[in-house]
Amino acid sequence: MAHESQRGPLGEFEQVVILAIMRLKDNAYGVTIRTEIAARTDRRPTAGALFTTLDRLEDKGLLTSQFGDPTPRRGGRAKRYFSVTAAGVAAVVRAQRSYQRLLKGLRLPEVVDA
Amino acid sequence: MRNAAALAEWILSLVTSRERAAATIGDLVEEEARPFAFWGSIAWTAFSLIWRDFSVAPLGMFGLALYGFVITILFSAFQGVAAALLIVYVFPGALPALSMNRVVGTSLVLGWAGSFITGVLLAHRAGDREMAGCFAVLILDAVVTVAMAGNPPAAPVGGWYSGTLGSAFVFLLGQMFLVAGAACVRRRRLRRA
Repeated sequence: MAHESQRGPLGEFEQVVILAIMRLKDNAYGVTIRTEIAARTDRRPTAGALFTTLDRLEDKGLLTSQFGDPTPRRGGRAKRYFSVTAAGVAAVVRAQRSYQRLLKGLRLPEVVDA
Repeated sequence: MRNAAALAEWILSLVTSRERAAATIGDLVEEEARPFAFWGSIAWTAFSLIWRDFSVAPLGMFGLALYGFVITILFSAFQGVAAALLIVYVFPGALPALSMNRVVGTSLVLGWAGSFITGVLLAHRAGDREMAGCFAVLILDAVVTVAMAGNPPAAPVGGWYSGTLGSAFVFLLGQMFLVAGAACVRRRRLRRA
């Protein structure tokens, strides 16, 4: 697990991944995380980008994972369930506060979705 | 698809734990990813994991590259000396009868065997970063090969192996033997774990 000072600030995609896992609670594994991100952000990350980000966040100590039971639908392979650690929650809160401070006092134009 | 998944799982297990590799492949199987997306994800994930090993310990990777490169040079020198001794002392009359292709073919086979052994030695030194070590050697080998390509030998040898494409093919095949050697060590480690 990385030390606090070695973690550095979270990237935008890292925040997206952590928030998606928080939303999914006990059912956060590769497939559902990708689906959740696609549903909430209108962008579908590549599987490779997601897997490497999950590994990186776990190595930083911001996520933990545990393996479920193997299922026939997955060719007898187990799911890897992720959950956010207290450090992960703190990191995403810090990142969001930075955004809020930057936004404070700004008048953004209204954006209408196409 | 089942064979492809098993192969992909084997490839990923070279760069991450067996459990993580299986879970990653399980996700792709569950999503019924198309072949291009499936193999693209495998390639991206494997490359990213190797790159992470590089970024975590760049100096260590450079050291591994030098280690592998020195072993390669030593093997080449050993092969040259062994071949010369064989011709001079064991088969003194054989040299005129040997065709160029046979000489080159034999040295290629010896070179690939050397690459395989280099891969094995490299993996023992690299810890659980076997593939990153191989990648480091590949980069250093490529840089040296390209640099040497600017100074061709005075008497170039003809044949398919001496052109740019032939050289690239021989180079890549050599690297595959290097990776194969490291992969053997990795598999043995995973079996023991």
